[in-house]
Amino acid sequence: MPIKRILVTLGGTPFLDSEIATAVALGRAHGAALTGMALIDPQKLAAVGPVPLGGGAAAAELAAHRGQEAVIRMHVAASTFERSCKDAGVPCVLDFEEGSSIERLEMQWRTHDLVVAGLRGVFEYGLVHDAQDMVLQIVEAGIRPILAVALEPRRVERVMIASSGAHVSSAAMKQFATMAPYPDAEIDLVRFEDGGRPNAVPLDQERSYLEAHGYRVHVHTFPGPAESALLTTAAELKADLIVMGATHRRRLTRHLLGDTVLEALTASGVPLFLSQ
Amino acid sequence: MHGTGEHHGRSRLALAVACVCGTILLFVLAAGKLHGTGAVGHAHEHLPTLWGVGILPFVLLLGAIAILPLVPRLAMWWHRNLNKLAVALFLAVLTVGYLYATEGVDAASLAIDHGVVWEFVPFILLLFSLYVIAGGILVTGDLPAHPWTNTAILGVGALIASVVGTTGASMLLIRPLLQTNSERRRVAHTVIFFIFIVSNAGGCLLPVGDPPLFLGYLHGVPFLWTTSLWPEWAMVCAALLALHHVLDEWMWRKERPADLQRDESVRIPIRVEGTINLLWLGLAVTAVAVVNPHRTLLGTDWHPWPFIREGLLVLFSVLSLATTPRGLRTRNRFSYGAILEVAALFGGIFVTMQVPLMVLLAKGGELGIHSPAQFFWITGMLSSVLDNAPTYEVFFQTASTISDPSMAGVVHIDRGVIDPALLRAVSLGAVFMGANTYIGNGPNFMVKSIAEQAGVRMPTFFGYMLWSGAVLIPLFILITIIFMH
Repeated sequence: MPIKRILVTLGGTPFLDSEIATAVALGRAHGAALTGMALIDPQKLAAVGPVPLGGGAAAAELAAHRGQEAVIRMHVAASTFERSCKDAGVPCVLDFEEGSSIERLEMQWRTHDLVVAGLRGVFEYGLVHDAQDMVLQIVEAGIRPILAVALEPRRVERVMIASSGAHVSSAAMKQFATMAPYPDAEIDLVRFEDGGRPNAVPLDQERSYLEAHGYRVHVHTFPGPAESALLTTAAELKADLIVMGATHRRRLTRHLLGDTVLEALTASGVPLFLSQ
Repeated sequence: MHGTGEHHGRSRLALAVACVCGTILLFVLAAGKLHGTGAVGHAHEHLPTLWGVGILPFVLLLGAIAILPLVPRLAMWWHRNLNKLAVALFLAVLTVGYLYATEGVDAASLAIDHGVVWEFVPFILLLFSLYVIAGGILVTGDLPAHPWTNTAILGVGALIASVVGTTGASMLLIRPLLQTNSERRRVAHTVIFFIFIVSNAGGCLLPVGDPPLFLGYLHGVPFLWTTSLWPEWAMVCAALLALHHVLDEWMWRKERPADLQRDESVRIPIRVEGTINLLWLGLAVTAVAVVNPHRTLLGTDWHPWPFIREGLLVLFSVLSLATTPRGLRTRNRFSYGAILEVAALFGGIFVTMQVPLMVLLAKGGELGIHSPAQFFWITGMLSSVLDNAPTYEVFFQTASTISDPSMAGVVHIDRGVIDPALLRAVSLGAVFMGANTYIGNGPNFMVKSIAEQAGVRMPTFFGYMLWSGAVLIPLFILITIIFMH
């Protein structure tokens, strides 16, 4: 599945420059067109939280300020995106939206192959905090795959695919292999042995699948649960990108019981390629 | 067009409800006066009939204040002060109706007399005058944002909060603090400590420092009694200033050298404009301290007439408005929004509170709250999430009902006595623990709002509570161990 259209979230977050650089590089490499999506969610901007007696005027002032500032920052982000695309000779369009971020993203995603967003912040404009697992919520809404970038853009030469052998992780691996955003990268296929999983796909089969798609693959197995070892392993392997699948679980369960993807989104300094 | 028409229709309805309820309250007040008790204070110290029903308007009003701003469909409606006024007066009428039905016209009239005439009017006029006068003072400047500079600004705030009020001190100092730190990236911790110190803890030394203490003064606590809270004030403020300083040193070292260089290159000396308001402020505080209808004027045997004090406060407010240089309030971004909101709600709070106060007078001793530590924590925890003025009043009354008049050193108040250890605990709980959340005290949210507008990324509601949980709660435990005996 070639990449022909990439959707970039222009949310004025600290990840913005990295998002634009990553998307522009992918656009050039694959001859893809970019869509920069800037979105304002008035309801979210107006939600200033609990207000004390006597704080109503301050709350109204804060909400109004956020609304005005978001429009300014949205246009700054859009013009940065447009300029970068123009400089790189990558075709692009801008899309200004208003409403719920996940709803509007889902609409746009229907005609795009890949979404590029920030690891920890999608449409914040430096004014409101996105939920810690915002990217995960987007994936769960059916928007996938997502390339969640880190603060600094990087040249992707080594990719770590975190495989549990389960359906979602194999699906993520297949989506990455067929989409081939980084066809020249070397692959570290990693499995964390955590008591064994019934019906897990043998690592050898996954390796041969990736090799059939032209990748050079190294296989690694590590003891223990993935949550605690994923990021340190990625650092040891000098991975420039982690590929992983996200299982569908309730938000509360993820937060209470822990979750590998949530852990990675919260702490990773390496971009994630997420699919579900 | 349809939306606007509907909006005007709702406004008219709210106005009509407010007018009708206001008229009913005035009518009942007048009827009670004609009926002829004329007494001041609570006439009934027995448990009112069906008191569980009688306290409902008070509970509903506090619930509305806490919950309605969070309900997306109702938040915009609730935001309008006219709607708040209509709800508050409607619930006040329900309270008065309940008292009329169960206790008679005298009790109903007395609730209005006590709640509106003797509590709300002095309370709101004091807040109004401090708000107006402090809003006429503008402090500007941009000093190098060294940790010592920030700690010094917080220290000045701790010193003036008791005189200017926590709201006034916050209004005066937050903008120069933010201006000073505008070149730094790590500022949120300083704003959080500003809320802890200037918007809350600093204001416990005088009744004008924080509204609950003024309520105590209205009930007869001597004006200078609160100065006896200086050991707790000193300990909390010193500990917070020291902790802030250590933290800010660490944060300062993590700033980017280019930002620090830029910070050093911009120096605008601190400048205070509207200094005539310092005179009005001094006179207002003196009026509150000296002119008390329940006591003789200092050095004379003359009891000032009722409302002379309030008249003076209005006079100083008018003088402040007249003498403040034109344009200064605009530059200070002064508006009447906050004080109008407080006025719209507090009339209703004071009337609806009369039934819970009657219940406390009759059953306060049965609540199982006896020790200073209990009073400190219960008053404090409720002040963290509700407004601290009504919370103070409720536990002030409870403490008064269980205080032993024969005990040595009791504080004499208008309606009996109060154990100084309990008064200390209630006062400190109400003032200090308002800092636990953004909603514990009005200035907390105002400071957060101004800081966010200046580009400071403030923690979320629960993020802020992590800070208060880590910094303030251990400090309050220490206060309990050392002082609450």
